[in-house]
Amino acid sequence: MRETRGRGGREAVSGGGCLFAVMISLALATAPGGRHLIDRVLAVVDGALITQSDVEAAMRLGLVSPRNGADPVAGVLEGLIERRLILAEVDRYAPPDPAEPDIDGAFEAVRARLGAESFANVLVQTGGSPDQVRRFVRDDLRIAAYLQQRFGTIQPSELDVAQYYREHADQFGGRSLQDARDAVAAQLTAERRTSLVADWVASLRRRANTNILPR
Amino acid sequence: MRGALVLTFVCQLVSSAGFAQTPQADAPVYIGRAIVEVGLLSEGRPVEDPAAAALIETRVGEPLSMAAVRESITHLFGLGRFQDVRVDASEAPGGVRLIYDLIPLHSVQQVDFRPAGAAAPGTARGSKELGLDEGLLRRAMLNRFGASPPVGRAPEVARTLEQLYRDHGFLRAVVNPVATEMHDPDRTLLAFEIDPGPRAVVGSVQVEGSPAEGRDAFLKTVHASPSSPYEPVAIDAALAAYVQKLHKRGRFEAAASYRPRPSADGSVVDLTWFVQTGRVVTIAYRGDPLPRDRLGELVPLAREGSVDEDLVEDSIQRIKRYLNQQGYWKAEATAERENGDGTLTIIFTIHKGAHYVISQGPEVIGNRSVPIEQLRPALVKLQANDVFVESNLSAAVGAIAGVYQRLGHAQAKVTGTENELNLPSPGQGLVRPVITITEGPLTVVGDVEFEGAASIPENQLRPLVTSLPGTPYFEPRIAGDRDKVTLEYRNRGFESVNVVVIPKLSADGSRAELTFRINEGPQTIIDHILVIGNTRTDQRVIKRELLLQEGKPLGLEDIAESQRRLGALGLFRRFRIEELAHGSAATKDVLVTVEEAAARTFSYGGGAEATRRLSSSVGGGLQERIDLAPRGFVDLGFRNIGGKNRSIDLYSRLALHPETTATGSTGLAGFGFSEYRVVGTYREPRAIGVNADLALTAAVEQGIRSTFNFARKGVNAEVGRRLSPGVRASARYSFGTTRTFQNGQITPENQARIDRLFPQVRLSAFAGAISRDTRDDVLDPERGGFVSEESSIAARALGGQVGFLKSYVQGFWFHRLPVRKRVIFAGRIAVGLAHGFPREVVTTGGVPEQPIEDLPASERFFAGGDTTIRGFALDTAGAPNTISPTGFPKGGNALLLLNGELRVPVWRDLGAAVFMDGGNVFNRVSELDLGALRGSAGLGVRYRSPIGPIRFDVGFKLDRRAVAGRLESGHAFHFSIGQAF
Repeated sequence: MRETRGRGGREAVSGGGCLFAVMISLALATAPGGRHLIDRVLAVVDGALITQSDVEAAMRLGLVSPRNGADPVAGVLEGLIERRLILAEVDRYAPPDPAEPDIDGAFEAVRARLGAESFANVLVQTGGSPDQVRRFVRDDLRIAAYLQQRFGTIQPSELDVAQYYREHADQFGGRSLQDARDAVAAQLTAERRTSLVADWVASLRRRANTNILPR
Repeated sequence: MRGALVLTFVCQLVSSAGFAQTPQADAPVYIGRAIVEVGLLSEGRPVEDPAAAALIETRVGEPLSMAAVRESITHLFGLGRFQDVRVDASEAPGGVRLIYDLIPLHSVQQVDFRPAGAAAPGTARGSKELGLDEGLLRRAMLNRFGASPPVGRAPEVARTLEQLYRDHGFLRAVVNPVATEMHDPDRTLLAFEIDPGPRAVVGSVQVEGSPAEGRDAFLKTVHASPSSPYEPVAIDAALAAYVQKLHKRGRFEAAASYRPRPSADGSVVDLTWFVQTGRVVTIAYRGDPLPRDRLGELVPLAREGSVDEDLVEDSIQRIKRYLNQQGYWKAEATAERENGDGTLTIIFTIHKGAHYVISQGPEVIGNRSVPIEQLRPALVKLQANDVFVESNLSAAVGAIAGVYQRLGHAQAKVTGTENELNLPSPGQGLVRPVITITEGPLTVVGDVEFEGAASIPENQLRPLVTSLPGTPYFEPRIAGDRDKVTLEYRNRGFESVNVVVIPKLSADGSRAELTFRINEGPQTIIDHILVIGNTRTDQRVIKRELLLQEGKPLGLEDIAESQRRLGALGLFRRFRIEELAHGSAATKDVLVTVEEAAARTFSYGGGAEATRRLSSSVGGGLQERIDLAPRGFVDLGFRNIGGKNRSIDLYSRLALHPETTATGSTGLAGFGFSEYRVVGTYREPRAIGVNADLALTAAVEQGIRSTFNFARKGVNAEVGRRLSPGVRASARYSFGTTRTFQNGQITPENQARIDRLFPQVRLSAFAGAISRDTRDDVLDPERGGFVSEESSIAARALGGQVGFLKSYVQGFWFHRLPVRKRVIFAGRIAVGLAHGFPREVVTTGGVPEQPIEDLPASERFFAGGDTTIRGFALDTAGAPNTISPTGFPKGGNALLLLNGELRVPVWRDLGAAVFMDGGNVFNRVSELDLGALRGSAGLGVRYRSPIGPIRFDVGFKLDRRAVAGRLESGHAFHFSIGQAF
């Protein structure tokens, strides 16, 4: 029987634990070679797997920014889960395909960030391929287009701009509302867009069947 | 315990030092090295499962690749039996050893909610310790995650429960999930340890605004009095009810909200309320009246409880639309707000204007190439004296534009004007609509080209396109062509194909070149087909029904057809075909999940049958009596025998009739003659290695008819095979014998009827049949045809008492005529030929005994009736030597039938038919004579019902003749279900 606790990540071995622990350790010690975990399932999102090697590839290639949290693996995993949910929505509405030069540019940016040799090594070590990376950045562009299409038309009223300025005046270097109006509107728009996207992703998350396996 | 841990630590050190292993070695150390061993473990035990082993992509001898590892994980996970697949690598002599550790699915079978600190499941708990009722907690979980959420979603469940606690005033509640895995059987017990913390109370309260009932009463109403428990969910509900109550009192502008400010420890919440009771709103109407019963629908301000500007504008538009529909073409409506002391009046002013009627049919101008008759259906609602409704004119304009576009006038412009005439009298208006057409050039399709079609040759795409060069340029048809091309690609595994049709018009607009620009995208090939959920059914049985094959494209229609075929097996309660994505877009696994139906079925039933029967009386005559017989049946079925979809069905039926006494009375002497029927059927699809369906049937039967009893035995073996989607072939052997006994007084005519249904000779025959069916609908076809041929041979050498050769060929054709309505022409030709090997046989039980020469009556051909020659009653057509001197048909060895029928729709599901039938039955094949055919013509009525066409026909003979000294009836009526052919 194994008991897993949701918080704190502690594991408890039930009765007879002392002897059992010793036996396990002896068995490991006398094995001809240690076993090392090289891949496994970390999460299942609406039936699709996210493996440890997926997370590692995303981290090392810098494809996904980790979400807030101390554990980078958990952060990137969260990012991949959200990305998968968003992509499912994007596929439903099928925005226009990004232009090939844009995909090429995004792909080259990833490769340039690591250097050609490191890029190739990471792909070998994580079981990826240039084609997969290319599709990944293509999907990123599709997501960006979709988000722009869906959330890109937010226009705060002058009243909202003025109120935001009053509440955050210190962030605009003592400029008057008249001088800082465009900057205030841009910041307010960006904040609202981020908030709307976050709410939308949270709603996708609530509807989805996401299973994160204990690590 | 401490000693054990120390020892463990020492052992680990020894292990590390002795074998120079890095405890957290990275995968890269192993990548590219040769795999020397691959093992599957589950909970420490080796897994001997060929299905799982076949899914491993990392093979011994090959270099280790992480792509192959991930593929293997995907395949194994797809089996649906594991919650995790972990791959371990370790050093081995000469390379790498891989272990796939399959963690079995431990589904959650029990969910507990317990106070934090409770020792174990089962600890006494209640709302006191949990803070909230356990049922409420469980419902909150059930609504979003189901009764048994997976362990991976337990943290989400915990967050949901914490939110629930906050909604009930427990602002510092902490919920912690604890999963306990159990084995044999594998399962998980999931518990949520809950520390609800203190429940907050309402602290200071400020109210901005003036609630009509006063501050304290208001706070009591919304459950927010100081020192009362703080429960947002209750406050929100009470607040919504409060606002709604104000709306109902006419205060549509009423609004209320609050802002909570919790203390640092979450035990007290200060509230600031904002209450706006709003003015009392009244809705008034001026000008022309509207029907009172429509006001609520046209002006929904009270229903919505709102005086929003948009809603007022929407109400104005509704009023105008309503009046327009009544013929008030120029109706006007406005709204204004009148503010009073604490009141708001919204006044709608309505002017209907004149009531417009159409003076005469619309004038259509500019239709040079399309006759007005062709446009008239679009103008039916614009006739003289009709009430003029502007939207009807718009609809007519749209319909006429559609006619032109279909004909290829892609640039046609159609406009409509009302053309108001002088007012005949105050309040009355007259219009004569004018529709002006600018036809523009007739555009025909020019060249059709394909761009980007790399994987499908152009000569395979071109037949899919109906917009051929020279045909009218019609955009909906072109869109249909685009969809067909897209579907063709999808059927070949190009699931992200994008097809765009780009028309290029010539300068004068008379010709449009079409370019189908195709972006094929990647082709998806099936990597593995995984079948799960089958415990009894052989996986091969499932896979052979799939049109999907590993290594072949993943086609859209193949998936649909495979699902249909799985359903047709009848073995499963539920089944599903899903695609499992890989890392690569080029391959996918296909997961077939089935849920098997019960392997055995058993049904039974019973009752009593009351019938009037004739029996012999004491005096030797006949008397009628009521016969009450208990009866019952038992049906036992075995499905999916051996997992190969074989089935056995045993059906038996028994009716016990009372014994007849010498006096003819019943019921005192117990049970006498019994009716029974026992049938055993064995079916095996894809049997005996020839991919054909086998059916074996054996039946024993004994029954009662009004003037005789019979006993029948027979066996039947049939092998059928579908050679292509429309072609089916079958071979059959049958052996049967029937004996009649206790015969009463039977006239020769009745004896012939009995012979027709109960051949009282032993028959042993082989038969073969082949058919081709291209009909679009079996019950009521519009197009296609059906051709079949069946031959049989019976011989004494096979154990029968008679021998004969017999062949029957027939063909049906259906064609929809090129007219606007659904008019179908149906035709049939049928020829039957038979030759008997002469031998006189005396029937086994007939009284009077009948010598049989040639074919028994049951095997002869007959004609006449609702499916053959409809001017004749059933079986009554035939050459003179096939009719007995008393006028009874004896059947013959040759048959010829010719039918033609025109089926015309009349109204809704009602239709009519006119038909002409011809044909005859001849005693011998050598007597077949086209000049001796009997003809009939007639008409009928059809009703398309959910169970098929219901048919009434009346047929008239074209040449009435004298038969058995009497002139035949001139006509015959037929009523039946289904078309004649």
